[in-house]
Amino acid sequence: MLKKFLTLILGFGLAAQVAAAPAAATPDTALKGTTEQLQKLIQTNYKAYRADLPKFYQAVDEVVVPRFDVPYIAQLVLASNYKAATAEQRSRFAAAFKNMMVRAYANAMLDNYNSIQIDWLPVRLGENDKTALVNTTMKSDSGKAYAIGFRVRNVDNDWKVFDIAVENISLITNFRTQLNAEIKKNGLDSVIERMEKGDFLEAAKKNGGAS
Amino acid sequence: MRYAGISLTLAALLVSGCAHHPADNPSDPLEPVNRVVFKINETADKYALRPIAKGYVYITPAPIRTGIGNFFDNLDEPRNIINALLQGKPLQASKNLGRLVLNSTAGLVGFIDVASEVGLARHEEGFGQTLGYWGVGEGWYLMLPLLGPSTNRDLVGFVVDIPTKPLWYLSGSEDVYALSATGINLVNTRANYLSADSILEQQFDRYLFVRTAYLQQRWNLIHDGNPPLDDFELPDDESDAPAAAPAPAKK
Repeated sequence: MLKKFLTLILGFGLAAQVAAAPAAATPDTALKGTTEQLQKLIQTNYKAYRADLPKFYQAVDEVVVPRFDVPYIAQLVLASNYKAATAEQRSRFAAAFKNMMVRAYANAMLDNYNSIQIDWLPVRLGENDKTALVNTTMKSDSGKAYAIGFRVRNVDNDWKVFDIAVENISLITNFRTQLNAEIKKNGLDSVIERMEKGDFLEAAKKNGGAS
Repeated sequence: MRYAGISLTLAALLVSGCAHHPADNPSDPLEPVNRVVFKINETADKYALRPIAKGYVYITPAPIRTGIGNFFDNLDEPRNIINALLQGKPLQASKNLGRLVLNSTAGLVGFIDVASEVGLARHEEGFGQTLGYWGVGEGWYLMLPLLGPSTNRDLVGFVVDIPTKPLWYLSGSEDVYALSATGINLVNTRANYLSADSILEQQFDRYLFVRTAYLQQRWNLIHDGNPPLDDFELPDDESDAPAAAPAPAKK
């Protein structure tokens, strides 16, 4: 009886904690938390990550990726191709796209983690407060400032990123345009396979883009 | 007079541009031609402009490059002022006028951007943006030889803005100054984008990247940095539980 009671209290307490934390978070504090977590990780493990990149990608997977709404991003990128895709194609595309992003951006983060200063600008809330735009300015050592905007949406009382705009260039819009052109040319399966193999970037370099 | 004739011809281009197209689905009927021009531009860049810009960076200290950039930005202020007024933004116009006065005097004919230091940030306006502000759509996407990406609307804007440029009023024997100034501006601007080359190289299709980036950049400028939030055209009933209802494979 006592044991059951204790478990109940513990369970309730945990549940309350889990529920309370995200509900209190505003879009920008949620993002700030994730950013600081990653910066701290890099600070303490910089040498280990440099020597073992897969280990770093794994850390990014654990810390940063939960902040992103990966299935939704995949859906937005695929746009009209999403409807025709099978469940398997959808999840494979989402995973491959996520890995591509993680690899591409993790390296940039590793190179610049301590030279970047982030200014958080006022949050713009969208319709019904379901989505929001968190604008930031990132300044590097060289004094160059970049406008980085995060589009977030409320998923189960937590704010998840679904688009990043670098100098007003939306990741979704950019990849939607380019990937859907590739899908039109070669089909979704071929695009997924090439993304999984990671040879997309190399191929793009050789082809020179225009075809 | 000849100039008026040219702008009339260009105004005809605007007939095609009525509505705004999203950047991921623009009107690009000239794509095959645009791609050829894009390739020529890329080749010219690879063998001429880019190496020159690299050499220029090598021999010119960064503060001097910033100064030259500031000088040419200052020459754009008359254009910014006129177009801010055309868009009914007198406050913005007076801020730009303040920039022009401050930078031309205390800023040593524009080389130092003192106005930014006192809170008058650079704010770009042009007739292409004015037309967009008035509700004119982009029309077709264009890849112009040497000038780069544009649209019907922005090409008209570019031509209409020419008389606001101080360099336009150099004439006769002074042409050589106007030409060399334009050349220096081109190299200086290209030098500023050298660090973006690696981003361009990582794209699957550079033509599409430049097109998407350009159109989004213009859309952002028309809205003074606050464009309406894009909902990416997803119907609400589809936005949740993406893997729940798999559609049959279509092959």
